[in-house]
Amino acid sequence: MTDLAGARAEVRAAFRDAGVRGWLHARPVSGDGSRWSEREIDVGADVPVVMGSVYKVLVLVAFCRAVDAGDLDPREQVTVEPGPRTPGPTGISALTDPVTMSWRDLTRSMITVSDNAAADVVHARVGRDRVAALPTELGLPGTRVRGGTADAYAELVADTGADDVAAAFAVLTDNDVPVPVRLLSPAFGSSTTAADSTRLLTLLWRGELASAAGTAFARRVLTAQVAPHRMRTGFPGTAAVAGKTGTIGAVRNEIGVVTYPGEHPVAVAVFTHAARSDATVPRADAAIGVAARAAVNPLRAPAA
Amino acid sequence: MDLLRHLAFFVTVAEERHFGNAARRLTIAQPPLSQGVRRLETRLGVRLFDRGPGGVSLTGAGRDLLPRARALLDDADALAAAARRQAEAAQLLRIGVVAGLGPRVAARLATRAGRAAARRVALTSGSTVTLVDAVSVGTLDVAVVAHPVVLESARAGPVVALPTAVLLPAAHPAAAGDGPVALRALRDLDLATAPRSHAPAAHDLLLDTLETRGRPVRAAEADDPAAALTLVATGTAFALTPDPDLGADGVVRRAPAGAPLAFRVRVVHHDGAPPGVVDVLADTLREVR
Repeated sequence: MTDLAGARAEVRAAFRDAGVRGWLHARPVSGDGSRWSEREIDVGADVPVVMGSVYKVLVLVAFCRAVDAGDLDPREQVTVEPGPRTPGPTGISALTDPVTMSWRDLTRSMITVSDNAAADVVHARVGRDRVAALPTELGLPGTRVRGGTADAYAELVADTGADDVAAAFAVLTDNDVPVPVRLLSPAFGSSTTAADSTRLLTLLWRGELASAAGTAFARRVLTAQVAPHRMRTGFPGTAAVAGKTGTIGAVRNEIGVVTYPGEHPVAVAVFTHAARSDATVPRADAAIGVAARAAVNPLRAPAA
Repeated sequence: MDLLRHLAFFVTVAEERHFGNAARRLTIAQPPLSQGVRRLETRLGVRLFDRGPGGVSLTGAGRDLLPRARALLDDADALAAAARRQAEAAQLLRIGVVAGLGPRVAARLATRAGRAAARRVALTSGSTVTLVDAVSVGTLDVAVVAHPVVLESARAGPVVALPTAVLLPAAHPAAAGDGPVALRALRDLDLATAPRSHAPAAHDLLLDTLETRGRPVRAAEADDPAAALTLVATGTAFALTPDPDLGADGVVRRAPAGAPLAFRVRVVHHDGAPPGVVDVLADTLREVR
């Protein structure tokens, strides 16, 4: 299996060159449901890592299951008031006035543009306890979801001693004063492992987590994610890249499923923590694409 | 009985062929020497020497056993030496300092750290990446490296931002006068700097910072400060250094105009690093000017 060992070395080299610590797992989404592939790429795949917005994939799964169970009408209109909305750069987080849209569109916004406000209302609607219980139900022993984005931001503000979220992020991006914050430690906040993440995506892609309609919806919104700067940079246009990013200061993640035409999809999860604190480090974003490509290529196989 | 001691008696008598001379060499009296050899013979169940009026000669068994006795004694010496080295290592503080800080700063850091730990110091100079790796695997106790850097399993200590000076060719127009040098005035020069692989994140941050300040640069790789000085002295590059002493013929030192350009360093350490050393290193770094 020298091609796999070579890929692992390539992944490590990509992380080192970008100035990040990285953890990665990749496995093909093949087999008949019970059979797991023995071919995988593992670089620290069982080490606990900070999730960031990657946790929204679990909220998405919980949403699909709630719809399947008849607990939630995906078309129901809901109005989200600006006052208590979680801040963020995208989606309804970035807007000023009350917004009315359906549960499924809020869910779509949560995934495609990582809308923090939408995520927190959908998370509350499907039930925080339901989302918290999902990792155990799905056999993801290294995964814990503790609260949503609003809770995480409250901790960040407390740990940095800043007045608001924007000021807290400014503290976080200072290269001169590294601040230890709970949000950047897998021991405190929501955490997962690279191997758990590929298992989650594999189960979802095989249709084992939701009805056919729910699975199709989930796959569609993940494929529609607008994040061209990370995993997407590693693959040519012919490959479909479905994914979800996660970002907190120096932490940059993406988990996704890469599908070349006529081939088995490959699930890949990349978690990184950069040495530089800057809010923008394009090399670190691109390293996720380089690492994902190095890991996916030796696992590619024609669909039977 | 003390086997090793008696084997040493055996070997010495075999070499001297004379009990009196052997006793003198061993600085003991002859009776305990004779008694020791007899005891060894009893224990081994063979006679080692024929004692005749003309002196002492090895028996056949003695000749056969002599090289094995020597091998055992050599091994015993090697064991003692290894133990001594281990004991010394526990009394040694192994410290790494990134090459860019220069020999005087490195020596001061090592001296103060050694005093704080009450240990002898062994100083290693090298690239940030190799020093962090050495701390991660425990071959260094503590190191001062360029920041930001991926820490692997090394423990993170404080970050100190050191001011840098601009080194430029004496013949360059910007070298005229004594005032600070605007980076924009150095447009025709490359930046002589350690190779990116020595500290990728810190290297990228420096280049991004210069680009932000209106001075995009091409990096000219210099493996060590002497190589950087050479690039400057020959008129192809300028350099930024935190080392207060770095200079050469044909090289001029100036402050950078505007906000200071920091050379950020971080103290990283191993779990077993003696207490207090990290703080002493950080305090010493803050005095570097």
